[in-house]
Amino acid sequence: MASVGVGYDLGASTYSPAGRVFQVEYAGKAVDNSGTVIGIRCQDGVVLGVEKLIRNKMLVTNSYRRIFTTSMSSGLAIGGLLPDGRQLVNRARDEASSYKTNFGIAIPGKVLSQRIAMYVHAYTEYWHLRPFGVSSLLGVYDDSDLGAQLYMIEPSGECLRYFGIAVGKGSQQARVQLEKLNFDTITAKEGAIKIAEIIYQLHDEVKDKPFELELSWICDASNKKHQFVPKELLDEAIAAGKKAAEDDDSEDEDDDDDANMNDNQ
Amino acid sequence: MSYKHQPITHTTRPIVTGTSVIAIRTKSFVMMAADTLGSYGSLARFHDIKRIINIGGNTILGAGGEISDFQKVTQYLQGLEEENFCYDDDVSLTAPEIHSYLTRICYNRRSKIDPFYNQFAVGGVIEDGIGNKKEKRTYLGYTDLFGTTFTDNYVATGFGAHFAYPLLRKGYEDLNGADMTVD
Repeated sequence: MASVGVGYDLGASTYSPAGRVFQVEYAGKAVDNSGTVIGIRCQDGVVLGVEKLIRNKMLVTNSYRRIFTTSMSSGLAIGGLLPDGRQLVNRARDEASSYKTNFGIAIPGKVLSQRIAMYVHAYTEYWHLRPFGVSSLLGVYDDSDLGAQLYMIEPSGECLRYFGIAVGKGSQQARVQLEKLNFDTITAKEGAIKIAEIIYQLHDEVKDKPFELELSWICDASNKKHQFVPKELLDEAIAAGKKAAEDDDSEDEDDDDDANMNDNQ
Repeated sequence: MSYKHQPITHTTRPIVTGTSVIAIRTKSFVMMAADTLGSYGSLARFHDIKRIINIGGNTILGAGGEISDFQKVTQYLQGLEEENFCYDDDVSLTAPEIHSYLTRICYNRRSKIDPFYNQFAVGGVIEDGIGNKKEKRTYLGYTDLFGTTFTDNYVATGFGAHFAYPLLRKGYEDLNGADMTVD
């Protein structure tokens, strides 16, 4: 496969004649190869979910984390290179903590997302640094007029606010599914179940390794604190997810049967 | 170089002060009481100040002395708690840890003649052991602006120390090792 960016992709400080910065785009590829991360902004909170692909059977369950708490009322889900993501999480925690020290209140979503975005962007400006291979989904529930907020910060430093967004392997199909949701009425509980359904449906049993579902939320039910969803809800979501995946499979089988019938006639 | 100027001093007298905090400890609980007054010298100026706070869900911290220093200490500790909340590993500051931390801060500040002008009472419930062998025990300690530290069944700060200790000593003596109920 011929490389599109030959000659212009050696450093983040170089533009191509078409105006692209290839290193930043390649960083995006690192995100596209990781497990799906989905976030939904609900009426009463934000829900984040990750399809954690388990590369090694020896891994202790739940020891591998992709969703991190960055302050009392905000959480960051990492899609892409996890070590890069951890660096962002540390930076976000520092920003949140210093904001609290200086201004006395929890860091608002707008400010935290911009701080993370500026940090990510800074690494795209120099030849001697490589961009973060991470797309992070930031969920915040602060006391501002905006209420619950979901932001996505891409490797380029672009940061936008979303009703629902997905990154990673199954992101194309996940985004299609997310567009069908009614964001005016969806609750955090429904959002959690919906994320599980989407992740289970999109997980490719054949191509991908087994996975664990990680679900967290910041909502009224959790007192606006970022926490992993309660075990009962997690179990309910996993059950709903498995059922949705089975329904999906059986639909495919029915289609095959119809095709066969047509052949015979 | 001129040595005629006075040595550098920091604030060594308190302005807005709280006084007594009285705390007792039994086998099953720790109880702490304080008034909500902030005095401005002899003027009873601020009537609704919190002088006992909760840290990490299992510890209470009460202080007498300079209110602004207590508020600063509170901010430090709550910042540490928020850090623990972020790490999300079921680890939280316990009473003996907070007691030790405060003692370190207090002693180091006094060594710079820049004290946190407070007397602290730290109390809480701790769980020892792992898995099935967990045991709960109570803890109550005192630390102050000098960095003096001790733990005991009863602790008091400010004027309370003068009035309450004799009464509390008698009370514990009369109990003779029996446990108390919340009533």
